[in-house]
Amino acid sequence: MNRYILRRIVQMLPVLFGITILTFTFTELAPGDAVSAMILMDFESGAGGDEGSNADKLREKYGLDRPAPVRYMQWMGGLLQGNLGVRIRSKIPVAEEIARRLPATLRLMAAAVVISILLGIPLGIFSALNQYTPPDYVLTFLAFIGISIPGFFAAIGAIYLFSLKLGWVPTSGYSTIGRDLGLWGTMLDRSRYLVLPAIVLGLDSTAGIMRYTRSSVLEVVRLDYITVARSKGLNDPVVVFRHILRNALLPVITIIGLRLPSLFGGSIIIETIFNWPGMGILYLDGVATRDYPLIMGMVLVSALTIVFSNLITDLTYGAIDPRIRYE
Amino acid sequence: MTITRKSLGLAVFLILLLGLLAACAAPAETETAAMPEEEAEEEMAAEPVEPWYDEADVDSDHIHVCTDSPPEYGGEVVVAGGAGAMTGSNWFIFSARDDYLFSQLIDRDTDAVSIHPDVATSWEVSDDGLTYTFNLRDDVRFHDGEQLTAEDVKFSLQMFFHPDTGASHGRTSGLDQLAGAAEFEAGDADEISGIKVLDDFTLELNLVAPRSSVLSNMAAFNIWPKHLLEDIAFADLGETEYAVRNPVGSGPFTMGDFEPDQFYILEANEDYYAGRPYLDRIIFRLGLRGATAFAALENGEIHMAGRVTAVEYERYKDDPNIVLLGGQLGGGMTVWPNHNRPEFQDARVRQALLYALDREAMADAYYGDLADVLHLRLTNPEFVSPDITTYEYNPDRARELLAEAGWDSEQEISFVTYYQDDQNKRIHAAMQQFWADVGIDVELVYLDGPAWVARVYDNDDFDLSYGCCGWFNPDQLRLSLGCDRSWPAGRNVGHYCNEEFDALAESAMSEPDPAKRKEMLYQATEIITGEAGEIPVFRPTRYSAFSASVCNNINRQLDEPFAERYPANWYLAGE
Repeated sequence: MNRYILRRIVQMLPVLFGITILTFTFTELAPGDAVSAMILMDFESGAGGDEGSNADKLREKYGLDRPAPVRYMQWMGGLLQGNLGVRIRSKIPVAEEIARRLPATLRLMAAAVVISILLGIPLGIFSALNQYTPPDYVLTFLAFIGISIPGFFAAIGAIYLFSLKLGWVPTSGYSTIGRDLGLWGTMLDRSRYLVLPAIVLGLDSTAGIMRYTRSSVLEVVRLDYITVARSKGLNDPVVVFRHILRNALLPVITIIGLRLPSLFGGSIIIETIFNWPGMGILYLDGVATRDYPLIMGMVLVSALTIVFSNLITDLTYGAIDPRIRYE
Repeated sequence: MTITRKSLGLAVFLILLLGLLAACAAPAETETAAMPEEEAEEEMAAEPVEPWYDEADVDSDHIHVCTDSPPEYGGEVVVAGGAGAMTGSNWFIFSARDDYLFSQLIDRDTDAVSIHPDVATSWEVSDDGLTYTFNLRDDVRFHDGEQLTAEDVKFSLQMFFHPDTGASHGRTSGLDQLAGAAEFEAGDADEISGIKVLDDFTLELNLVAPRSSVLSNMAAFNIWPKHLLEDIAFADLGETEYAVRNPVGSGPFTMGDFEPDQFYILEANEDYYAGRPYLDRIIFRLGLRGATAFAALENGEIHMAGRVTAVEYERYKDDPNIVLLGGQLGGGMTVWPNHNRPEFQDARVRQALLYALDREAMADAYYGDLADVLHLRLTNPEFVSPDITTYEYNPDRARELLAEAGWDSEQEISFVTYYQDDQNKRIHAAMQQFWADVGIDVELVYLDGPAWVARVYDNDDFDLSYGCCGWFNPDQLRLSLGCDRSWPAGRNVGHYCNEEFDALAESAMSEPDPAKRKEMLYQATEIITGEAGEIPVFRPTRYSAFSASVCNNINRQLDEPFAERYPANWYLAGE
């Protein structure tokens, strides 16, 4: 088992290395650089200046005048020493920028994943066990609506209904600013801001998880060992939870595992609409300003979470299904 | 005399009236140095000095005054987005003045043109226009308690010019003729010899040649604390704790809590030289914009949201709880023909591009009330000739001109822009159609910002480009459209070049006689419009949405980067 994990981690290294090279190349290929973005900002503000000469100085200052391979090697050199570089726009270290955004993104995405699991799996089981009955049809219908409605539409609708019309929760933001509410007050306050985006994001994947659970349960229900279990006289809950669910969950775990990286990546659209200070907006900003240390840092973090969540998914298979062994 | 109900009523009325007058008096800018701070704070005591706004402002679209609600101290205002110097995630940005955290030597009046004292109480200009002497207040302190002196002003001006700070206004401002500035910029001198500190509170500027806009340019820069910054190399200033988290100025507000990407809070500066601001604090919610910000405004969570689109304009214009403040931009949307390409060197082709567009109809259709036709990017009416050439929609004339110029209607022309929102795309499609009608085949090329800069500026690879903005300051005719101002020396996007125009605009910059200066600028504006040097299209009107409860609020669009908001005057209307 340990050998297996070690081998997988060693296998990751060339993958990650390849990803950094690809990302760097694509960032290089995009026309314009971080200094072009600054020039434009200045231009937009209406201040006509002599940035041409200034641009060269800025490029020199940020090392953008050096050839791409040299810059990549410098970045890699920094990385090997645990240094992700500095975000050009804000002059704050990339690691700090990411670390600051990560908790907000984790809170939102974890809440969303929990919501989708808590709703999706039970509803999927229920739907499967009552196949071709009116509740099954209703749930199937709702699931398709859930899959079809784009997140931004649901988000705006939710803000309109729950904030503007009903006034239950704030329209956007992360917490009430500038108030000392004490520990419990702060937690309550933050939940009020969390609830809307988390539900919108959570419902988005609930539908998918529910459909997967349903079809996977349906497959297992027909298998011989379930018939055997029932003929032994086991009662329904035991059959469902011990025999059906355990075997039906494998594909569902794959789906959830695929969603894990988004825990760290955030959701650009939902974060923008709800003014949520997470990773998604930071990534968008990095691309728009051609901030290559920031882009590289964020891609590396995403890549790491993806390869690790794949590993975790594989290990979970083993825990759930004893037939799977790792050598 | 016995006190009757009537005289009591009169007395109450007079007291209220006095309070109102005191409210109109500038608590921030126009107090004389002799007035003690306590007096300025007391609502009734202050003799009504010149109001901070003009009578004409009261009914205007850019100021919200609450005549029936006298000023009150206290409360907080929540704003969507950052403001002042805080436009990115770093305070060390030079392109904006910041009248929240910082003081300036001079402030501009609400007309955005005339000026009044801030830190400088008075100034003298020598007859030859070469020497400016500023007398500074002696009661201005930075937020850390240090006194602000002429040394700080000199230091801040030098920061403006120093190549390592990345500031870009040295040459474009009226300060380009400062003695010794060029040597300092080139790194040949340690300081600018033309900035002299005569004593702690007297500063002298020596110019090599006269410049008409020195004073208004002095309103454009923040005074930074020398004692906190002098030991740091200019190139490293952006990375300091000061720039990233804790800016210290001498303005009406001090820096409070700051959570990057989420918010920062400005607290009232109790020791502000002109008296504490009315508000206790201002909260800026970073990153809050667009429809989300308007939803928060309607829900009462914030007081100020950003720029409205035509949709919100219609929704808010009759709403008693929301005021729209703003006005016309100091410039507008323009098409730049590339004068480096032979086909656009022919003035007839450029004129045809203008005649072919029904700008009036497009403004109506796509902007509604929110734009007019633009004829010249210089929008200060004082300096624009009444006889400039305007181009009415006339497709037949356009076809004639193209035929005369021998236009090849087979060739495809590129139209490169980074304005790629839906409204702009519809506008571009309409323009494409108008041009197709007269035989100009245009291909629309959409790029994101940095890619546009690379293609248009660095590679000069475009026939037509589309972008924004213009100026209120007539110096920009020379500085932005001169033959020598093409990238990278300047931002003459289309490489417009006319030596006669340059000579006139250049002389106007240093002409001390206002009448002669005006005459020169009249001629210059007639030249550039006559030969259609640029293709100006729309002059948008931009409004931002504010809660009606924030009084003395001001939002001007002219001269955007140096816009003043007079936040010290804001107060919340009582319930």
